[in-house]
Amino acid sequence: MRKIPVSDLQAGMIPAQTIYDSKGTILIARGISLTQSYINRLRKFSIREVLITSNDEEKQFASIFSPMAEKAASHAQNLISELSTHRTVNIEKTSFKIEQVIYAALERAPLQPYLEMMSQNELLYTHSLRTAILSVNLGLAKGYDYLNLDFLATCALLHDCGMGDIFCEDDNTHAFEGFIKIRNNTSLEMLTALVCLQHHERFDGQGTPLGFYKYQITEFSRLIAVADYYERLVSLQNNTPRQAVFKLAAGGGTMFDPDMVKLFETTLAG
Amino acid sequence: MKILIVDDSDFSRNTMRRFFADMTEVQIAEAANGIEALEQHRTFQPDVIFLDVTMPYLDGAATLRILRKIDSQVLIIMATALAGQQYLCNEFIALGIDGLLMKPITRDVALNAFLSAIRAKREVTP
Repeated sequence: MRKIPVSDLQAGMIPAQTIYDSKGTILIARGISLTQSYINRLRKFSIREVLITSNDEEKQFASIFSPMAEKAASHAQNLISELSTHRTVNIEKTSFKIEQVIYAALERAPLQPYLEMMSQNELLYTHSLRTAILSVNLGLAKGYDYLNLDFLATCALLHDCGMGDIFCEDDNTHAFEGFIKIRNNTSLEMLTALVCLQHHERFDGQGTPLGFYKYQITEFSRLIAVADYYERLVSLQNNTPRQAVFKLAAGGGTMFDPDMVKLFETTLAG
Repeated sequence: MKILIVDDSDFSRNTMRRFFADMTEVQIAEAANGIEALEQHRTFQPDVIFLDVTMPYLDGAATLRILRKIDSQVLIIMATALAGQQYLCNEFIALGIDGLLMKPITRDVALNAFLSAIRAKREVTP
């Protein structure tokens, strides 16, 4: 590893550490290959030097996280491009920040076994990543800081980790199973477990598994519930994005927190 | 014996802590909301939990539901400040609480609730 002044950086070099601006927003995540636009971005934020991995061995060690996270990161990148082609959710302007937040979350060591487990099930894997992307987009619209976004992405990535081999959202036990699974892993925060437990609760108290209502459901769970439902309608139940938006709006106040539905509407294109 | 005091008010937690100060065999942990309480339940593994009802992020009623779903053994004593919350009592009893205190709580009341809960449990499980 060596320190290189920003003026000498070249495309293709790989930073050995994540670079943040003064507010804690990620500029470039560790292990992501630099492009000219990334370098310009670093100049714009007056970053002077960057620690760069120097040889293949270090590259392997410091570059993209685990192979599992690398696979998930590239899959996430494709999904973001795909979502922007829907032209329903306005994701183009925020895609850079979303990518950075998702990459940083995927890098977390306690997530690796879950990523491996989820990658065995294509539907679950894609659904989790897409829900995380939409949730982070909502989180950005809500004005969360980087730490909260990182947390939100982790919660969204793991929200369905209680699912067994068969991906079935109607199965009422997966929320509780996921809660127990994350609770038993002390390296993950309790809030993540709670989001797992509450993501199928309804704002009117008619949800599962425990029938929580209104603000007994944590803010992250209320936000992820909206992203999760939209994602399911579009990719699993073959609704058009437009139909999904109408169905989601109809659920405000009963299924979902009306404020979260309004927040979702602010992220719509056009 | 491990006690967990869950209350969003520092003053209430400190007061409650003082009630048990002269009991050398008692260890005490604190939590300021339901999420912290669940975290402490996971790591500290208390025998008795004093649980306030009105708290931010995750209130006492929701915390009680979760705790009872995952742990039927821990003794839970609810503490409520508002007489208006008495309508919740039926729900709490149905969920299986081991005591109910109305605030302000005095030392005698707290210790009585604590000891009766422990005694009741010992009678059930010899």
